[in-house]
Amino acid sequence: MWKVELKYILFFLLPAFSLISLLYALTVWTFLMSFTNWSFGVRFSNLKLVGFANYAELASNPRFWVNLRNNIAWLILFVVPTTVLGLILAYLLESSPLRLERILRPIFLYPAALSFAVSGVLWSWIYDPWEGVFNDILFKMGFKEVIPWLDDPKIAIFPIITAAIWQYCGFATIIFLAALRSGVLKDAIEAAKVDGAGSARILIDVILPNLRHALLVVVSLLTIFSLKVFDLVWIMTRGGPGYATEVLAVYMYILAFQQDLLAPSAAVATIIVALTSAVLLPYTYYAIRRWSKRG
Amino acid sequence: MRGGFKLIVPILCFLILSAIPLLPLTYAQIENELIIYHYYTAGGEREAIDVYFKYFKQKYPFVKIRENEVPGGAAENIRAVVMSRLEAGNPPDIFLDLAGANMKRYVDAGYLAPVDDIWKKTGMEEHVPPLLRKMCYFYGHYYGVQANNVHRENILFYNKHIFDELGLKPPRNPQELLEVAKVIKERMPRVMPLVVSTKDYWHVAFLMDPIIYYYGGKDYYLRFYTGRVNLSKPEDVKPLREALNFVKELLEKGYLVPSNAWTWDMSAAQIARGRAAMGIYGDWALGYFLSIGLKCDEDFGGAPFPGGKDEVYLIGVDAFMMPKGAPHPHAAKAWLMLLTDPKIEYEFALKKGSIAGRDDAPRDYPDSIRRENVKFLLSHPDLVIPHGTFMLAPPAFLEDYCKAIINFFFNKNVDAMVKQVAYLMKKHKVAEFSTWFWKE
Repeated sequence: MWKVELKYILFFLLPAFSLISLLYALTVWTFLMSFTNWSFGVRFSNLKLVGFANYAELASNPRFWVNLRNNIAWLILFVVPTTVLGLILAYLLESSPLRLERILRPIFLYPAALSFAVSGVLWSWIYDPWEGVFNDILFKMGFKEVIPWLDDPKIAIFPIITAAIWQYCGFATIIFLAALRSGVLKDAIEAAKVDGAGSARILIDVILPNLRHALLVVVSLLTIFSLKVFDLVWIMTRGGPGYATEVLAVYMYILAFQQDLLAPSAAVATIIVALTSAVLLPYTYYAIRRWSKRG
Repeated sequence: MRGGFKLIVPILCFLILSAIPLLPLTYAQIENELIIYHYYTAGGEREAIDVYFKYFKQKYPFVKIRENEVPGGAAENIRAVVMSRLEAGNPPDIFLDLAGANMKRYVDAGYLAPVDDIWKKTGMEEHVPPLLRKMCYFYGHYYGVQANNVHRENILFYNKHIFDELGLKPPRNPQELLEVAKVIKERMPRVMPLVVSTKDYWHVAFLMDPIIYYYGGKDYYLRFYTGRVNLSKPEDVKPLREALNFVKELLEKGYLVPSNAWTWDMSAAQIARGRAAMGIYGDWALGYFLSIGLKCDEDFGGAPFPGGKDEVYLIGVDAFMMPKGAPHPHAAKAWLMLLTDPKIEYEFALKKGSIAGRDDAPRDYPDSIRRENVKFLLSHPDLVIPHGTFMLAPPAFLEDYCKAIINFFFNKNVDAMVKQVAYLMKKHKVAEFSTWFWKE
């Protein structure tokens, strides 16, 4: 009986397994290519191993370090505020009257449904120094100077991150809202109220520990997004001015398709995978272990 | 009678069958599909490519055109798409990219099919100027047909209303540019004197190239963009330093406004609306201004920069190329043949802002900019040279170099920029790549 079931299980898992195998095979392929001299037009038969030369070249290039710094900025300035804001909004929605919640929920979620190409263009217009909404409002408020939102290399990354927070906040809110509505959590909140706990105490001692799985999902997905972000940056600034807002994924694209350097591009891709693993694996391990101990 | 009929039938069959090879190649063999990739999407360009599509459909109504537009000027984005298809062994029939250094890159990679027969059949070899031929000719073969004839890449466009109101004439050299910008800044403080897009990073090359030419002259300019300068030697570094110092002065005085909020056409729109006074573009900006309904010499004007005694014609050429293994090679060749028709080329040029490359194409252009361009092209062939960043230097250098210029806009560190250029020339092997230009 079990043998028959196993046969079916394996049969139905085969498509997913094939796709995942392909994904890992391509990741391994990219990793291997990063140690070669692969560039546009170099055939497989002419590939040569160059050891860590591509990584050494990247390490000696200041542009790579600017990219890495920008990714770290994304990691901190995007993941933390989006998570916190998502949590607050979910809590407020949960506490608000049902009718209001029904109106607000789609409004919060709507940006997440937009493509980054669309939201990128919209935000570029909003930030336009001369015709954008933001500067227009500031002028009307009496500001005299044009604020070069996307033109000043020192500040240009912040408007892009803000746009990403706007877009992803609704997504985080919905995940937290779903977790808040689990039956167990509702019972725990009711019990805490009966015991006389205040809102802050309920949030810290009852709600947050019970949101651990939602928190894991949100933080993991936002972290992955912040380390592989491409489209929003490309649409809004193309990594500019110069390469002030460039991130590793954008540099990977430029190396491959504008500089024909496919092997260094593969090296950047490998670094992105390594970074994502380095951030996510310890966090996931720590979170699951800690929470499983708590029960 | 019956015997005569028996004889007529085989004779007729023989005549019909023997006539088939004499039918035009195009109708006998052309496939019913053409997969084409191009990047003519901005104002002026779109209308221009539609001219080719119109004639192609008229001539070959049975061919279904599968048009793939990849927006992004200077072939910025199309390369990613075409490269992926070529590397994957799934080439299109025809694609557009820059001629010169860019075309050589595909040739070196072994992806292009030679099209010598088209150049010979259509008289292109006799009717196209030598420099244009050179931009499509590598290792003894032609590998593409120029799509947009001869672009002039060093034209300073200006808002005519602003210039008339202030009584200004278009500047012809850096000194005059500073004087004109000063007047604009003082008398119209809300108008940006000179604009450049940094979002389309390559646009900064249109500012930098003519300035380097002005300070270095023809020989230095050609050596610079083919990596034949030694930037540790004072005589080779001097023109570059002067050019950088001039840009620095423009920036420090607030005369040059670079913006990452604009693509090239959005920066040109600032001139059209009177928010900015000047910008340096190729003559494709003329196509843009005309496409939005402005009138040359009434709403806007254009003059070569540098002009006067230092005038030069920096040419830029786009070309359609046919990859090896194109799925519909006869349809692809029919497309390339169409491009060589002088009348169609002229009609295309009218929309695009360029001038036709063939010497047997009509020369009566409706605007002063192109009339002057034709005049100069014919009278000063020795001062018609390739646009360095786009036609000579390797494409890989272009991206890094333009980004370095943009970084310079903000740090204004001339020494660091000189070092950076030297490093990039070495990194991208500019000298090694560009030897083709110096070969006869």
